[in-house]
Amino acid sequence: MIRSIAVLAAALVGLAATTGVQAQTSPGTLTVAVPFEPQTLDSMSSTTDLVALITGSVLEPLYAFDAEWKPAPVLASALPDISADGTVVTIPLRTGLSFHDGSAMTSADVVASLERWLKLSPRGQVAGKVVTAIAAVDDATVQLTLSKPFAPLLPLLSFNTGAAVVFPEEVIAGNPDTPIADDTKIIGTGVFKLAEHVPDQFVRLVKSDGYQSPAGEPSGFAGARAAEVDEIRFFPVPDANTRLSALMSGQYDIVLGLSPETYPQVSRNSELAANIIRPSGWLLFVENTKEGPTANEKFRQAVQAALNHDDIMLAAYGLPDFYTVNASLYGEGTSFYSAAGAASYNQHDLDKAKALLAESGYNGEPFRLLTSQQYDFVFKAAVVASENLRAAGINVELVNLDWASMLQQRNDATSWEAFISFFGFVPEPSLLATFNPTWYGWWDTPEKAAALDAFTSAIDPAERSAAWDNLQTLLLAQAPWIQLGAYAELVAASAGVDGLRAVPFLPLWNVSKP
Amino acid sequence: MSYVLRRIAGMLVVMFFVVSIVFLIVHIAPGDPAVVMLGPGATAEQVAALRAAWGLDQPLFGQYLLFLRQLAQGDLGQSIFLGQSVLGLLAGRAEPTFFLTIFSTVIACLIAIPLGIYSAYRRNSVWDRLATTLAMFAASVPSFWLGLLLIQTLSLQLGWFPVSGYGGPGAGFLARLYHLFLPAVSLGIYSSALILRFTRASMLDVLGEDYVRTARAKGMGEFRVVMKHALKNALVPIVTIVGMTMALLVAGAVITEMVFGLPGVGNLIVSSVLRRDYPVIQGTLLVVSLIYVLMNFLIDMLYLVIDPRVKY
Amino acid sequence: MRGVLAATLRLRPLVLAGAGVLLVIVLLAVAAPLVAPHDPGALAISSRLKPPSAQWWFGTDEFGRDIFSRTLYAGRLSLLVGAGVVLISGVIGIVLGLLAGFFPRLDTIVARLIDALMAFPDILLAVALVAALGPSLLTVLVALGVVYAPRLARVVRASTLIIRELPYVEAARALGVPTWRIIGRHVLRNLASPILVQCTFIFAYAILAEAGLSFLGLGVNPEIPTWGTMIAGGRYYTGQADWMTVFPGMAIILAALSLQMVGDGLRDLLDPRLGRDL
Repeated sequence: MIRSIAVLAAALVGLAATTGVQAQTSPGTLTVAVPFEPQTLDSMSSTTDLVALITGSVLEPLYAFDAEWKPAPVLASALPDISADGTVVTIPLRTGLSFHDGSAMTSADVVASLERWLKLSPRGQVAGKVVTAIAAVDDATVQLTLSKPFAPLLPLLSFNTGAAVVFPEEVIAGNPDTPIADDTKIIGTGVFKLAEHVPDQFVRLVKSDGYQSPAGEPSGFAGARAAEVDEIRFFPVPDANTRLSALMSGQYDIVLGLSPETYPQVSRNSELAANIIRPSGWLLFVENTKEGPTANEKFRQAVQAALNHDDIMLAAYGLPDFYTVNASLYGEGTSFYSAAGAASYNQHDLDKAKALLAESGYNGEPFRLLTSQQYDFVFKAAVVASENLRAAGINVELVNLDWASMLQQRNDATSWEAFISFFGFVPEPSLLATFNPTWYGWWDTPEKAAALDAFTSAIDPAERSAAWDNLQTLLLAQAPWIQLGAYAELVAASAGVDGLRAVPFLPLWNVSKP
Repeated sequence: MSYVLRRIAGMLVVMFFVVSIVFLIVHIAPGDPAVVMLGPGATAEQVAALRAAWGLDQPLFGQYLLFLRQLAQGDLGQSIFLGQSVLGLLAGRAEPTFFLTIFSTVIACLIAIPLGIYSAYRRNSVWDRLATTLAMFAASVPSFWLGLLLIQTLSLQLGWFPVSGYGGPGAGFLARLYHLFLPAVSLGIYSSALILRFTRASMLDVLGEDYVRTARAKGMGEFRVVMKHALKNALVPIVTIVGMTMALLVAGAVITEMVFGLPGVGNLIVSSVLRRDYPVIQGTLLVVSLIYVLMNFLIDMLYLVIDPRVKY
Repeated sequence: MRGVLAATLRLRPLVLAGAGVLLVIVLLAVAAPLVAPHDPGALAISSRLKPPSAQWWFGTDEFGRDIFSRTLYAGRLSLLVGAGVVLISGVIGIVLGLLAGFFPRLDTIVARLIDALMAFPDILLAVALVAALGPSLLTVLVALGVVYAPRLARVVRASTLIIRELPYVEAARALGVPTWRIIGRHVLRNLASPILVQCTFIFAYAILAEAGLSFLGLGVNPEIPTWGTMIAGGRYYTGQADWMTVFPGMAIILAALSLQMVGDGLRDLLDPRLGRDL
């Protein structure tokens, strides 16, 4: 016994000496540590960023955003042809493409997939209110009929989560209105195909032979796609600390979900490269407009006046380089930049907050702020926000739940006054579910309904941006939810990894390693 | 023989209690598991259908009988989140936990048994005091804290060991053991305390016995006295405690697996709690505790075999 | 009695040291409001993650809170958890142990129940209870109380079995003294020492287990400082702000170690025969 243990120990030390710690990395295989196990690999039914990231090179949409967040064709052969009245949208398809199971992709597959998308995808459901019919004109053409002109259609079709990806018609027939649970049915046209999925352990993608790439210079998610490695493996590593340690020891090629505060450690290390996805999303403070003290607009304005966004964002993200605090959701120079209503943003004016509270008739009712420690930055932001609100005289009760429970509890309007959450970057306001009257907080005033309608039906760019100014002004006046700031995300990779593009949902084709 | 039968009957009663306790724990959960599992988008009809499918609309006692019936058929239910059978999931996760437990027990024994023997032999010496104090110290250090420390020094600074995982798909047996080394150390050190304490105590008992004195009087060498006569007789309680420690290690493995990102049973149950995957929590708790009961029984049976003095 | 105590303490200077450290920890925790230089909950975002200095003896955390003050206040909660768990497991354990030990007819059932409860690995049972009841201070207390009760029950049962056969207890029974009086007068008095020994160990394990649960994110509200929640919050800063985990970690080790030293000393001091059955 003792001898065999000694032999074992010697073998272990020998192993340590010869292999270093490269146990999980090998040439031709890109290893990626991700923060959790995806609940499904059906990116059509899910709005989870990670699902879109993992399946991004497996399942392909008709259109995708380029680096400037402009839609460009992927499975379509060109941008759609839109009739003069804006109600008939004709999409030409690429021909000669096949799915991973070998079957050919035709307009029938596209029609079936789009119909499922309209029904099942949270993005598709938005379009579903306008799209009245989908038909195959011929094998390589699909036509959508709309009830009225609808500017967000193309962005919705191009977006990565709740994605309008194309599955074979038979797969759709087997899962018309539920997420695909059987991994063998995750069949797409992508540059990689799903080879193996062991829940909580790994997802393995392998290069799809005979892949036919879209044309054009690679840009964002658009342009030519090629598999530069034979395999991509995703490992769920839920503990952020373990992810960081594993990265430092060179165990993975790419690590996601790192705290920005690890940036100095990553950038100082010559074997690692720090990529910053900027912006990656927004941190939101959402209030319950249906019940409790927060149903009162004056009270919500008081909350808005009390918050110190700079402190909140610094505590949440650690390094000033990793966040911006600005009333406008979109950065200066972009088409949706707007300074409308900015005076009531990030005031940190306790006197004003107290005055507004008095006006609202607030009487010390408990203010239950839901948060979760599972997302470090959400919890930290909640700690600082509750400190701000207490200073203004609000009776804050910080309710810490696990993430799943928080998501559940926010359905029940009687059980919370506010919660803090994040919303992944979307290139265009029509993709912001937070404006939906059924979204948590249930903001649904007549002024808002009118402003939102004006925005979604505007087609002309100048008209759209005016309508957006209007909506933002209303948001800051009625304060149903408060955008605390925009955050950037740190993606660390080993220095040898080449071709990584730092955009949300991280495309992994055209990425190589030595 | 009648002792064995009595012991088996006793074990079955214990198992019945275990099963009932597990059932109670999972069913006192406030709120409706069906609502939790179906998520925000579910309609009232969907919830009602799921409740009926699970028998949640029946009175508690009826549910309990249903649970027992399914259990008797070896059915632990389905994971809500992962969509697999709980039994299959557990089988898939058993390997890292099993080897982690074995490996850390080996490490604990390698540390504790020689130290324990020496402590007993040099009773009340400085070395004895030092060893027992060290044992208490080892039992006072939170294992996750030690794990973080080991990762920080041996993995990150010296680069000797991988910091997490189980080697990934297709990793060989040696590569997996190599991944288990640090977790096993951080867990083994903690449990070495108990083994050391017991080794010392039972060696002290034996060293005071007549036959040891006789052996010494006959002029037998000290090493042979201690190793042959004394250790042989002290082995029974030591084996017991090693067995019990192994069962306790499963609890320690919960945290260690999280620190080192090992895809074991402990990791599964913590993830399941965070996902509100009640069937998995229930199944894991049940299987682990039943294994413990069974192991206790086997240890008792082992007594009959290795210690002829034990008569019932 | 005093002579024995003095002799033992002379033999075991470590026990004395343990008792001393424990006393200091308790005093610091109780007097935290007087000793702590800063408000443990006051946020100062501009002075976050400062290393130990004259101003902040143990440095500051990610919200700029003073770690020294928080370690003191956390001591209150950690000791409260320990004491609460001892109380709960004490009540359950003593009742079960007495029932099993004193009433042979109940023994077969109660002893099996104790065995069944023993079969659940401590953290695992606590994790499951937290899943059922939701994480909170009370859940942690109840879960750990239930987890450690059978240890105590076993000791109480074993000792009761011995005590009830003692001549004067048998005599009392023969004289028709009511059972509850026998238990109160003879049994509990004899049980005091093994129970005390067990309780010191349970106290130590409870502090460690609370830290473990907090580490998993299944413990008390992380806004409340306990040594466990402090380590859990600070582990994301290892390698960068190690003081966040080092100081509360040392506090746990000191508390658990001194408790075990005291327990060990008590065990040697009191009847060793009853105490050894850990």
